[in-house]
Amino acid sequence: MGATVVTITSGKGGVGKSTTTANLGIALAKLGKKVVLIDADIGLRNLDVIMGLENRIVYDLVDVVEGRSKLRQAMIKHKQFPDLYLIPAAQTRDKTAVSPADMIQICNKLRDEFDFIVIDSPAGIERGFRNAVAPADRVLIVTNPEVSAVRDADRVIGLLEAENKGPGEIILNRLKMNMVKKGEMLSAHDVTDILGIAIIGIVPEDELVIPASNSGVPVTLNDQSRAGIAFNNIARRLTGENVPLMKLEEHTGFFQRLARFFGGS
Amino acid sequence: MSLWDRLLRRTTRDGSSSVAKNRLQVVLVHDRINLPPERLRELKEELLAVIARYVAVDHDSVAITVEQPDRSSSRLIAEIPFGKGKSLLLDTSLKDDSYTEDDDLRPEADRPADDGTRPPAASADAAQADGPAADTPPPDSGATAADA
Ligand SMILES: Nc1ncnc2c1ncn2[C@@H]1O[C@H](COP(=O)(O)OP(=O)(O)OP(=O)(O)O)[C@@H](O)[C@H]1O
Ligand SMILES: [Mg+2]
Repeated sequence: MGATVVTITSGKGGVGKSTTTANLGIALAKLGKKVVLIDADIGLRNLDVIMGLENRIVYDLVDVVEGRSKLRQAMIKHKQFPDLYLIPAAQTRDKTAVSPADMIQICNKLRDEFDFIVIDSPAGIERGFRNAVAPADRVLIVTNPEVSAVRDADRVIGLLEAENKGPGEIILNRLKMNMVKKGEMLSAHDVTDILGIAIIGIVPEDELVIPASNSGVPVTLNDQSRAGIAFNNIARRLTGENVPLMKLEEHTGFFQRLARFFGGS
Repeated sequence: MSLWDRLLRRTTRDGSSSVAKNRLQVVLVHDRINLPPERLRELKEELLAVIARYVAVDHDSVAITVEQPDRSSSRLIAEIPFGKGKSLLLDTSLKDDSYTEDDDLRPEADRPADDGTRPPAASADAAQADGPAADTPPPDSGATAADA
């Protein structure tokens, strides 16, 4: 059975694509899946440090494309999960060093051997985005509950539809439930309502995320992390399991409030 | 705060998130059709001007909007009621072409009502529009729509 190629993209920068890619990689590996992550953000290599694999890089994606290295040689095996690999981006080149056709070819070589290929897209809608999306079977659009991030997500969804890759599914990252309850932040319902496509996961704002990337140990490896739980759930959904959305997004309807009032929670 | 206040609190959200949602919905309508608000306004004005060259338009009741039932289908919905301008009422073709028995009486009965309900602003607009419209008699359907 061939791999599913999952591309993580967003339009707007800094919304959590690399964090999501790293954590989905770990979460899928924890489920026993064979996974390879590809950092397609050429010139702004990041996934290696988030994964804690930066000291093991010998070759990168551009070396493979330009024939200096075999695909195998550029694949870094994760310390803890022997079935999890990373193909790092080149740090000193730009996005034009790789073409959409190169990405399709690389993924095709990997498909037989893996269950999931997860591609970390750069921000924007230019060449790097097109590279990342070209081989995708599924596209996950990361966004934040914030006007400009949602607007950019909508633009990306439109482009995906135009390329017959759409509509994609939403990952709503950095949701702060206390702000949603105060009416000061868009809810997951608002965001799906506005964008008109399905949501595959809601990841709460979590103070454990930054320390996790500080130390190169993705937060999914921390059982205490709510973001980690969310990423585990998304991974399970990717494998086809039906996992209900996390409770942090429930509608505060009258009866829920009634129940909470008397339940004291 | 009473029990009821606490239970009923925040049934409507009035924080900045509803502002965000409204702003996003408007901005995305324009993004998706690739027509910024100011251009859409121009389009509406031009569309209306063209129509007003042929018929009297009730400018106060005009509604031209972009409807987007889902993200991949957008359409321009124009509701442009015909005005009840003077030339329409004096137009003899109105009587000639609509001929059920009652109709002989109906225009008579309608006339005062029309004049009475027509707001002054609309009347000014209609007068302007009447110029060209007088050259080409309005179609019957127009007269019917104006009455409806
Ligand atoms: N759920 C979260 N809770 C708290 N912090 C988060 C969360 N998700 C991401 N962050 C933080 O947000 C910042 C941006 O994340 P990340 O680098 O993953 O974004 P990106 O979309 O890959 O950015 P770029 O567009 O530059 O590639 C990082 O500091 C990350 O630790
Ligand atoms: Mg990134």
